Amino acid sequence: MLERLLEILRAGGTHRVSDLARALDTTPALVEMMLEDLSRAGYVKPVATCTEACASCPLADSCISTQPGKAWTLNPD
Amino acid sequence: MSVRAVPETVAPPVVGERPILVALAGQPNVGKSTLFNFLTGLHQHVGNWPGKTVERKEGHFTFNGASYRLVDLPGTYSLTANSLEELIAREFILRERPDVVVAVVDAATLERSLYLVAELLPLPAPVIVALNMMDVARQEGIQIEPEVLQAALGVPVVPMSATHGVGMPELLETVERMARGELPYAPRLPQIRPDHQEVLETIGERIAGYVPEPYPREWVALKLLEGDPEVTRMMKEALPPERWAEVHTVLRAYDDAQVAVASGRYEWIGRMVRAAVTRPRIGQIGLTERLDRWTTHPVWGLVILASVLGMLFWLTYTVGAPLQGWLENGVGALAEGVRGLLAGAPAWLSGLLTDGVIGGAGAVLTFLPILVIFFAAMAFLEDVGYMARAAYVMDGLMHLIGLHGKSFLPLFLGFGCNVPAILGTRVIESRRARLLTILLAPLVPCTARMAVVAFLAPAFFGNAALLVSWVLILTSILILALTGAVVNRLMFRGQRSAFIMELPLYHLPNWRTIGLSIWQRSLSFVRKAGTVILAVSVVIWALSIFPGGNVEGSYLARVGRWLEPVGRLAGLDWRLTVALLSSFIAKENSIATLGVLFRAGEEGLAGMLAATYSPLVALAYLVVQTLFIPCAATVGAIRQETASWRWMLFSVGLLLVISLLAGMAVFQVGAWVAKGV
Repeated sequence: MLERLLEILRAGGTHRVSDLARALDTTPALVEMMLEDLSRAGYVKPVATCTEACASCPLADSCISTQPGKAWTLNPD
Repeated sequence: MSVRAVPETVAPPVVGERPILVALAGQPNVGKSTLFNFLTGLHQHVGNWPGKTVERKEGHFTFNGASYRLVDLPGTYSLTANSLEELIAREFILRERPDVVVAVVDAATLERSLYLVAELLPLPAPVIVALNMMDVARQEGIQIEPEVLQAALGVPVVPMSATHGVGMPELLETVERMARGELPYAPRLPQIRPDHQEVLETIGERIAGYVPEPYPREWVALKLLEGDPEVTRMMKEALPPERWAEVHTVLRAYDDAQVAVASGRYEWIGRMVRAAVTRPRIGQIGLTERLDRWTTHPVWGLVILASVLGMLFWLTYTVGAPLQGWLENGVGALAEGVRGLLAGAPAWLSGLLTDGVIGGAGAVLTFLPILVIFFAAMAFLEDVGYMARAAYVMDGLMHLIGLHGKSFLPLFLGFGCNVPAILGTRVIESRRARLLTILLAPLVPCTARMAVVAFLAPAFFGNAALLVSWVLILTSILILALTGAVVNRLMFRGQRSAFIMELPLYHLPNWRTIGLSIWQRSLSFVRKAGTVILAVSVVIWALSIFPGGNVEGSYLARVGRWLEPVGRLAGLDWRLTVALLSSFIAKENSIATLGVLFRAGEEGLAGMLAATYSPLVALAYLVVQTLFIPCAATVGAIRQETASWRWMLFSVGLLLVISLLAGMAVFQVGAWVAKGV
């Protein structure tokens, strides 16, 4: 299943975790586990979205993003 | 009814029999401790694993006349060699060979829990799955069928809720029968990905005969393929050098085998979950999914987004405009009052206060209601969870046009303020891609720009303001998309990037959070108005009054008229041109400047603007203003993030050109159409 996931990612584009789950005929929880695994193996990278440091960010006043969310991006081969 | 584990003194063990050794395994937070404490009560001993700092808990209990020794293994997510806890757990099972291993599994997060089970099954000790937290799972609408899971796993599964003591007797009976060998045991092990099956067998053959006790040969072979450092070290020492060289060569040729091993486990987990778990789509998850079918739809999602934008402006005009009117009257009255008070004072002082300060900064303050509505709407949409969908849907559009997800998504922050958008491009690794995305960031209409449009549109267009402002913003987004596509085509040929995002669940708005956000941002704006905008207003006023005492002959007018020919191409006279330039400091400044230039302290600026300029000129001005050079803070961020003055200047130049061309196009085409009509 991991290689199918990588195949989908290598085709590019923006994916929601729920889309990936549907494509792999499995649950979002399992997709997240696989993404974390791929992240440990160096195939994908977790994206540090701004929201993680909102409390200390000087721009927090004018920024529209306040919800923590997880995102990953494919590491270049 | 629950069976209490009986203290040893009541029922002595059968003489000659050693206690049955049971190991308790599981991830953190699955209820392992609850189970341990329930079984052992006070008969437990807490110490350390020999030579380590990790806590070791051991206890004993009696059941049906037999005595049991219970060891609580450290909570771990898997059994790699990456942490001390994991090594301790697996070494215990391998060396001490417990009679039974009870794998405590959280029914509400079955996928995660099963990963450890996947690693436990190949070890040489029979496993029983204690399917704990069934009550929590039920609350979350997750239905698991233990018998189906048992059949799929091939090992006994006991449903439980340790906190409520449910399932204990059944667990103890199952443990007893398993320890006595009375239960059938045929675990379905995870298989390695088929294309690696042969390699696994080869390695197994090559290490045969050299695997030290008590390690099972197949397990060692699997771990070698996985790249486990401890097992690798052990086999390197145990194998004769030529044999090790062989094995090492094979391993090197399959250095990504770890993915194949993990993949096998995930397939296995997927099969188990698919068989035994049903999640009825109720509650928050169900609602989110149903809403998302529309909000993330490639067509309807965009329609909804455009409508949300339209509603934003509608709200601003219906609620904000009357409030704005009152504020304007208030400011006007203040100006009159001040002028009256300073009747005897020098003209310049009176002028400074009424025209400079009140006319300029005061005009900007009157648009606080508009800003508050914008802040409120954005905070609401963000809190409810819609913003993530808006980003996702707009990203879909950009993707269609050729702009990659990673390039666009940081830009979405630009709708609040362009500065975080520019900082957000840090997630893009390629420098080229980053630079180009930074160039696009100022094209995203920020709150300040939208507020200026919202202020001026009703002044010029009356009832048509809603339509005009809505179309204007949609057009600027379109220009962003087109510019991005062109830039992308020129620079990103063939490059692919994938972006994976998780959309949060929708939830009811938290009014306190929203209120706090509005308050903070409004305060921040008022501070800005009181400092930067005030200062610029005073400077503009000064430049507009010296040397002659009237606007037409002032320094500012001279500079303005000198630049006027360029502005005229887009239909703008010197005052609009000057206002445009002052927006470099802060977008809101254009309003302040117009306020000063028109000496709008006492009468409303809106009215005076409407009287002076035709709708066409107004439209052209709004177009140029929206696409113009960004504010100094944004330009500063560009300079900082690109570490280059050249790129900063290029960005400024690019926007100058785009905005003027757009303004010219609107004005010239409009004039031509008007002539024909």
